[in-house]
Amino acid sequence: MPPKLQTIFSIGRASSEWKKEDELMYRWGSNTDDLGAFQGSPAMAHEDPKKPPLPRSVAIKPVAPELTAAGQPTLRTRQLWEGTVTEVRDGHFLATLNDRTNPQNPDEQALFDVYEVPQDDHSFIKVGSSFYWTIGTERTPAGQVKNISAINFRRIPAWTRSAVTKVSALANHLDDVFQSAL
Amino acid sequence: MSRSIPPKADELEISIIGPGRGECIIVHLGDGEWCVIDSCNARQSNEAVAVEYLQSFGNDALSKVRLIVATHWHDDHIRGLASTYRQAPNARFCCSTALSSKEFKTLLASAGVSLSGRSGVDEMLEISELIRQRRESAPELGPLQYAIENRALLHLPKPGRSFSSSVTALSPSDETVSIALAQVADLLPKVGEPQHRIVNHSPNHASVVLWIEAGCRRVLLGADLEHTNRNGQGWKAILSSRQDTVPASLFKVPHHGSENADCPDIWTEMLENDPVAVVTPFTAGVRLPKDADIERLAARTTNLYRTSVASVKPPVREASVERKMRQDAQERRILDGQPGHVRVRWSVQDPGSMPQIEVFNGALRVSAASALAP
Repeated sequence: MPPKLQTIFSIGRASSEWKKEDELMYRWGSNTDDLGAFQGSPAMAHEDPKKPPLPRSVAIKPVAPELTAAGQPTLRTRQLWEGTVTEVRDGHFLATLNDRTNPQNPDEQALFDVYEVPQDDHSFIKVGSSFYWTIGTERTPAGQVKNISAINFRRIPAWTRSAVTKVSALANHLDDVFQSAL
Repeated sequence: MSRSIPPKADELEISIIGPGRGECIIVHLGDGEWCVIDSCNARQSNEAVAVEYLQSFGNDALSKVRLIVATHWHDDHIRGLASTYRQAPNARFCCSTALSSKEFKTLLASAGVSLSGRSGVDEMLEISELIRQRRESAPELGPLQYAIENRALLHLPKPGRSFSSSVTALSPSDETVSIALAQVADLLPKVGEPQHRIVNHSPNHASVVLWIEAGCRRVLLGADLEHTNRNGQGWKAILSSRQDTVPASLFKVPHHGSENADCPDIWTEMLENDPVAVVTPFTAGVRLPKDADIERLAARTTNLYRTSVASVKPPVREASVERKMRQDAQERRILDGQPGHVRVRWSVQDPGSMPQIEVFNGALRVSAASALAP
């Protein structure tokens, strides 16, 4: 079964301004109204073959679509969650969802079909991994507006040797704190 | 009675608050002195429910909190605990001795370094910073204490008080501590492994079960301790090592009433006949208690209460967003509901006195007839 969702993940991640995970979190956490432009192919204009052609005498005034500065589609995020996978079973995954658009809303839990996630991201579907689920409106350079929904797994780097060393040093410090507090 | 009227000096109060994920128990030990066990947050303010409740009395009750206990470090039991500890300047913090290990310190430290956040460990890391500050500002307090079976955590003797009170840990046992350490070791960061959040599904054998003595009353707070057939673990370890033989009048049912935590001998050996029993539901993952759990508990006592009902209205969102959500996500469920509150107050001077039991914010009494009601 093909993915039901359109993904903006690979597109968004390719943009140079979203290279760092922290920046991504900051942008999404601080302003979810307009996440700016991302790369994408312009929508194709389709003509309906069943419709009769317009008479030559009718003048058609061209209307230029509203374009962003970069001439790229824009995404208006209307709802954003940060999710954590809590269980993976039978082609589905269960996740807790934290509402980042309205943080006062209670956390929710939802079950997703793994096919909601692009095939390339399936390896990320593991207990404990984090993702963003975005529902928004995309405006193409041609002016088309469509609703999109995308699940976008966070690429958090693996533990590095230096990070583990930092953990170890901090653990020693905490051990001292706890010992002296008894 | 209004929720914001404080208990009398000679009253024992056990307040059990649960929003559907997590729980908090607030105990009045007499003469305005309090103990707080675990934590969850209020839905609207996102403040710890213990802070909100004690502030509502308007009598600076937070400064009279003597003990704050984290029964275990799972996310659903410690949300808001750092805030409670910060606002209770005279409280000592207590957690399972399993958390005294170097392994657990490494787990805490990983929360400080990880990019992903590490769930309940983040809250514990914040508490460790508060412990460090308090050690410097109030060293005489002895800001930290570890709980292990049959260790007295707090003793408030009668001279000068309305009644004597004590809080004693009944768990974890030595055997369960070593099991817990092995489980923590599995969660430690390893080079090359992903920095995932910790989603803990392990059995709660190292939970801190508490025994409260207040005048003539006894209370058993079961935390999330589960039952196992091994003698040195879970409820069996408690049954074999307990020292006080007076039965308890109130029981906080362990682990949200799950079958895994059900030990029938507790009801016959450690509790009064027909005790007040309070269960806190759990709405994440497998819902607890199940209908069969409620039926089983209702058959053991006619005084069964639950802190909240499982179903909660979802927040209102744009229709198009809601439609898209319904298309893409199945079995959606609200995790944090209204924090239902069961409050039990006793005058401890009179052994024959009846408790005054009140329910607030959607908490309810479960009668045998309504045991299966949603």
